[in-house]
Amino acid sequence: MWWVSLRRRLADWAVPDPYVTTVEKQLSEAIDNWQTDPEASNNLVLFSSPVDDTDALLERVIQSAIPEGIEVRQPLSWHQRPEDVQSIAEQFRQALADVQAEAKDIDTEVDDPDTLAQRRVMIVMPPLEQCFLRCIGGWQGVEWLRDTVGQQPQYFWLIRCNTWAWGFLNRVCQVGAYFNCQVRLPELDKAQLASWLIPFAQRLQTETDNQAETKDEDGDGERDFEDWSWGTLADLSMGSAAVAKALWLQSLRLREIDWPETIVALEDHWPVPVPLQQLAPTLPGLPDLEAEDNYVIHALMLHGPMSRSHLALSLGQGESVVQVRVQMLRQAGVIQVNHQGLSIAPAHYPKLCAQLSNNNFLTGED
Amino acid sequence: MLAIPWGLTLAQIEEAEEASELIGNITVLTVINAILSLFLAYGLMTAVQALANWLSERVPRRFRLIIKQSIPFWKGIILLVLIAHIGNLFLDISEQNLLALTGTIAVALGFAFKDYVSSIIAGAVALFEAPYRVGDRVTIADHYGEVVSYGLRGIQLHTFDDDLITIPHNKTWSEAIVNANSGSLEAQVVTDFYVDHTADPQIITDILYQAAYSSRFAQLKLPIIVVMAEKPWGSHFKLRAYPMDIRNEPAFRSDILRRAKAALAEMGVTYPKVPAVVSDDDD
Repeated sequence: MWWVSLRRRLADWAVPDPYVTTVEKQLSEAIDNWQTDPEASNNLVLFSSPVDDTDALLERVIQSAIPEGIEVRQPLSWHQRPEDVQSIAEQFRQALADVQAEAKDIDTEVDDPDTLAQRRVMIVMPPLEQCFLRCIGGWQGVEWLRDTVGQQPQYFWLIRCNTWAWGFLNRVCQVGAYFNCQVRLPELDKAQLASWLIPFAQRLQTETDNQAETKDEDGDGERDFEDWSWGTLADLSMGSAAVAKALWLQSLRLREIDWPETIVALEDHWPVPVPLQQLAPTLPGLPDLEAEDNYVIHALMLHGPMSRSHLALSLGQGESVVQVRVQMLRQAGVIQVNHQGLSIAPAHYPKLCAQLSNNNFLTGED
Repeated sequence: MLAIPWGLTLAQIEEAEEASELIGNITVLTVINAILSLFLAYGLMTAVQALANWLSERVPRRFRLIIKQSIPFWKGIILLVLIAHIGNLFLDISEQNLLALTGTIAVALGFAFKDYVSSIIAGAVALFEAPYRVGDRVTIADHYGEVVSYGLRGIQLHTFDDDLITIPHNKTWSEAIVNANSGSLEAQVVTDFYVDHTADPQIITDILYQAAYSSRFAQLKLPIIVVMAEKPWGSHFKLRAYPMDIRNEPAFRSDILRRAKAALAEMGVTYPKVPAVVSDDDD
């Protein structure tokens, strides 16, 4: 119960600063080039892993780093694949038409350098992995976007995509040849992870220290968070914030002497009543995966969070057949379910990458 | 003292004495030793085969063929050690004995075990030339399947119909060996499609590409190609693609066919109308 509450709090924790500064820098440069050089690219692709959530990052970047005068438009607010994937291209067309209708005064004459600075509209697209499905006709929307972005230089396009989906789309519709201005989320090192998570740990400690009933028997009220295995966490998590959060959360333990007499559900705003200990982080073991499980996992890597019906459609199997494998994987903790649908559990991501790579699948690193 | 039969020359007598020295010191213990060694070698070879097969089906795909391909090597080592050990038990291999022994063996093999030895030698040569290895998909004399066993005399093919076919190694002397994957996990799978002349080739080509890329079995790292040929009765399309694991060949082809046929039907593509051929057998 407490673990669920802590997980929610950690999910809402601030985005790591290195992520923000990297994206800010690249985005500012790209927009600056677009506004000054007629030959410059009018798009930026932000790469992340299938378990990273870029919504919060994008929100913070838009709040803090968008140059003055730039108008941000998010014509498609969905973060989850529409039920009818064949309609995505039409939704894109309509979205562009809406943006064009709102910004009638934009000068589309790009040969004149004096008018370049007047280009102010940045269009933020939904994550690309949510804009396609691996089936016949499933990536028409991406093909439309690929062909349209270059034809609309008066707009700057910010496109997000996970590396696995990008690898697939690059092979089926050569998106890399069209969107060549790219930025990848940096791998967080030991120090960056420590400076990101220690404030959260200290906040938990403050909460427990404020509880009158609980005292640390050793008398060392100030636990030394600096000495914890941050280097190991950085190695195991492959520098991914989402994986690091999951592994750090799994490393928290309750000491037996601190075990409360009665455990009640912990509401999100309630402080943790007893101190939690940090053990050395480890990657959870994978269950014995069957060949069919690999296909399910690969589909989830490729598409990010997705519904069961879309998963079945992409695998070319019946929903009832897919549901059996999904149920097994859920019970083993390899995949999780949230409001967006089925997705990969971040703590298992590093081992699943190796598992799929060893089984000859196209991964995000190929 | 050795009894000398009437009519033998001195040279023949000497040869008989030397031959008697070739096989010497046969006792109950050496016979038991040899029998135990045979059983041990047989057990070891069976265990190696079973262990390698068990292990190869549990490791990730990329290691499967490496493990399977090592089986003939380990079996060969066991066999060599066994032959050396038994030879050491029963034979006294001097220069003269070796000549006598090879002469005897040559005569025996020339008449009785010619094909068997031919297969053994072909098997040893095939280890180096590698026209097939364990785990490969091969076609030999109209038989197509996966090489699941590499024995002293021949190989065993496991077909899609779940048959096990034993083929002697000496087929490599005279038959063409078609190897689909030659030691790698992937092999090209060709899927044929036939449509009417009126169908738009561009639409068909797009659908076939997408069908292949959509299949969960498709190896996305390797190229996918669609080729077309005109026939009197219609257009013939060939989709050339690779599954991630050659074992999925039938499933991959079925998946592509199912996806493509559904899309072609949705597009209203018509199939060629081939006139019915009536043969005498139908009467």
